[in-house]
Amino acid sequence: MPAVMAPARGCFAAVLLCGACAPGPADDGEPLPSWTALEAVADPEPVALVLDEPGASSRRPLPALHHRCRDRRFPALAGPWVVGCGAGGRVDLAIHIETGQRVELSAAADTVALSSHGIFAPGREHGHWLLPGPRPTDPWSQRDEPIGQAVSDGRRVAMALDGRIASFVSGEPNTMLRDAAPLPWFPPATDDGVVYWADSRDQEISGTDLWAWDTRSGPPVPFVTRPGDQRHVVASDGWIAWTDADGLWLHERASGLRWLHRADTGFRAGPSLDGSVACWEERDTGDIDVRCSDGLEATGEGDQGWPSRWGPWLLVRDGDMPWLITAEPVQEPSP
Amino acid sequence: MSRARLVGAPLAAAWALAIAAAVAQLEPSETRSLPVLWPALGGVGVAVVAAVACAGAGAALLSRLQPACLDDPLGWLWSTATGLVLWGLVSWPAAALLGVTPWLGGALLVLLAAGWLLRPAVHPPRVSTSTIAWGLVMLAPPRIARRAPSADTDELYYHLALPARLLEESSLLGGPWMPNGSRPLALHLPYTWLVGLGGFAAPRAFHLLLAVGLLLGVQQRARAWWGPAAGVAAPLLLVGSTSVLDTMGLAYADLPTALLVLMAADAVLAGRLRSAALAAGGALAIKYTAALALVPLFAWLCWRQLSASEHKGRTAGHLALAALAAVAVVAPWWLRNLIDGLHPLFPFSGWQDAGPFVFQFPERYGMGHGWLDTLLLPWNLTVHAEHDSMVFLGRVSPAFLALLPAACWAAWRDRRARALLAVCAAGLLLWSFGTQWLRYLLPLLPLAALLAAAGLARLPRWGMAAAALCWLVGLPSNLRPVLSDAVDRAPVALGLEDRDAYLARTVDAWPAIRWINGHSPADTRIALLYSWQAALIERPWLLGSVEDHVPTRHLVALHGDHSLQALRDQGATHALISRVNLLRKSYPFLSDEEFATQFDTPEQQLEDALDREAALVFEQGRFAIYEI
Repeated sequence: MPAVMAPARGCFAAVLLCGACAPGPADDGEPLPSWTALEAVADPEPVALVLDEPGASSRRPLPALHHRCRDRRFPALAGPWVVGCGAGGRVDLAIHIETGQRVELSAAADTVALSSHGIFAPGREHGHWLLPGPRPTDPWSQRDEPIGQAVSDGRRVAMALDGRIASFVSGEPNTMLRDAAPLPWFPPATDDGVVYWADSRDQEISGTDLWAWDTRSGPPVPFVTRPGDQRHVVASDGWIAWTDADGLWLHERASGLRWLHRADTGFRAGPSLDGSVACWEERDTGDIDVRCSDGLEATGEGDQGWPSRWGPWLLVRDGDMPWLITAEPVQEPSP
Repeated sequence: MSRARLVGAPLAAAWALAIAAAVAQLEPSETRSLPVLWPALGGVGVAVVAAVACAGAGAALLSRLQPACLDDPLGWLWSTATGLVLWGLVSWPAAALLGVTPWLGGALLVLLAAGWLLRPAVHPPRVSTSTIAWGLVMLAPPRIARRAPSADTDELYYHLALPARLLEESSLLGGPWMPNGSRPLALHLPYTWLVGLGGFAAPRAFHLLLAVGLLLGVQQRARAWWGPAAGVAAPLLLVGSTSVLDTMGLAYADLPTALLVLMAADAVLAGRLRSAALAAGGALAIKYTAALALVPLFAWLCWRQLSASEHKGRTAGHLALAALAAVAVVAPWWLRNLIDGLHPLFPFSGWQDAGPFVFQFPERYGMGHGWLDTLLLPWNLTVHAEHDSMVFLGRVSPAFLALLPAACWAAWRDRRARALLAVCAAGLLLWSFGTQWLRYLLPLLPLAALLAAAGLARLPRWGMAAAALCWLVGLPSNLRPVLSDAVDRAPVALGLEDRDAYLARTVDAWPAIRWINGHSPADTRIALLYSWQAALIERPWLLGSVEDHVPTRHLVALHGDHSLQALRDQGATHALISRVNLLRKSYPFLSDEEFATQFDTPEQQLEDALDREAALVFEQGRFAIYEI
């Protein structure tokens, strides 16, 4: 069971609204050159990511979503919805966090792409769901079988195919394809028209790397090519996060700055990113816990894992039971 | 022959061949185009060469050991079977000394074929056109199976996986990290050479040739002993049984074992002790289930010879020598295990270093092990057996049971039938005490087919018609699984379905295996935890699965929380794990505590260790790959 969060001085709301608590370079860190044009550049040196102190939070189990999913990355958050599985293990159920509204999805899938706006499921009878609609709004068929979970930022969908990376805008007929060597199972990431993925083409030289492709211009280019295996890339609102043997990395696209949180992470679930707030699994305390860059965390006896973050909510699992942890709003000091 | 015929016949034949080649190359569906056929034809070619080489070596040996076998109409089968035993015998020292390479496999074949230089006189097989026609019809499913990519559990974990792994490592392997490598390899080393020379198609084709030899042997013996009707009935009883037909086109060990048991019984009935010993030892060295038939056969032989002999001491000495000779053929494999520091019967025994460890639970199979269950066994086997459930895991023709009274009648009057009845009854009883898996009964089935055919031959025509009706009634249920598999395999076997698409829909671990083959680093070494699809993995692997995932459970029982470190010490870089979640209801004979200790706890312990020490890099369904 997740532990109760320690009382707090965190500034989660501020992070969410204005980025005032967004991670910044350490004092001795040199500002790095801006990297917005998606050109191949040498990997910039990171600065240490400073985590906020744990803030106040509440928690509750979600027994309606306790069924084990075939894709263990579920249940997960799609905006204010928790999307999970019924008894069959397929993703076919969404529950609104605040209202408790329950939506049975019309065409279950083993795995789907989640965004804050809804769900995308690839397949002949699938497409985009705008929750709480029980049916896809734009049934969409894809000839090629994705080799892993697709991702969506609510508008653009990206998915890894065998030997290619695919991207299209919901409701538009054309799919853009580029040759690549995406690593199966690890989903790509997409944000603001850019697709990121873990690529194995130079695996024997530098391990798996991260590649990026601005779908509005240019070919795919290497994004992170440090020695070691970069994996589990996620992107949200101009921020990109991934993991490697050193820990969790956070990259701000606008500034080109990178932060590193040294931890044993990325061993099972990837990080979850909501803007500049990242949540990830760690196992350096003997068991597995979940920590977030804004201080929210799920620790305690046993293993907590599979983080999914949106706004004030953090969804984790303790065994098969999903738990919802809610960051309490920061109390303004009385005048 | 007239000049017109002399010229015209070859022209007509050449014309027919040209049309065949043109159709194969040009027909629009490309169903049997040469590029599709060629790899399989290469395998068939290697298998035929191996069979001919075996026959040469076997004939040369028999011409010294028991020349009477060569004078027999089944001399061709005797030669081939003896050559197979010889092949298995020489393979171990050759592989141990020179390594496991295709070159050595080729050299051994040349050595075996050199037997023909001694010009042994062997009767070639005589097969009528109608027999060939029957064979082509009944053996169509195995021929389709032979050409499909391997998706069969036993081929994937053992029959094809082990030869490929030995070739990959160029040496013999065994012990707890490669338990199947410590079995007697009298057939699997020959399979290894065949894989090295002709790919997976070669051992399958060789197995099919041995199975056809078995059917022809049964047919020719039944006809020679009890007439044409028996000659028709005996092989049809076998091919009318799911358990025989199901694996005929794959690379298995049961039918080659059955062939050698048949030869041993044939030799015993003919009083040829030396060839009987050789065949019996060869059968045991391929699969220990041969003992179900060989122990009663030897007991019958002893009783028969000792009761008829005036010099009982000398007779007993001969019998003891024959038994020792048979043991000498299988003993090298026990010796090999002892040299490796293992129990001689490893992997069937010798896991006790991790505590009280059960290799197999016979209680899981069949319909019970009480006396009443044993008495009802012929009925239950005929009526209730299911190909795809633990209720005997197979099916046989109901005509076996239908002909039982007639067989008893034949046994009353006929010495051979009497012997076969005694051996079959005792063998069935022995089988009932152990794991009631129908495949384990296959070594006995040709003898049962001969016995049933003897009974049939005693019946009037209308009685034979009744037995034939029973065979026909049993045919749909026996053919259903075989035909169903054939329909499933036909598109890929005929080149109409992609191999990848076929494996994706038939092997649930295929996405994970595709990840390993396509995306794991070149120096990857995979530990197979609760998973077994090794033949498809293009990286070195260790562990794998036998019975109820014994190797993985033993690993955890022995190393506990240090299991992953033990794997790393063996050079493993990745682990492919299947979340098997063995069902509690499948082990009702275990207490909750025993089930938890044997199954639940090790699985959870391993899962926890992977979460704490490894990195998940792929997961689909119940299969996951970890970097360890």
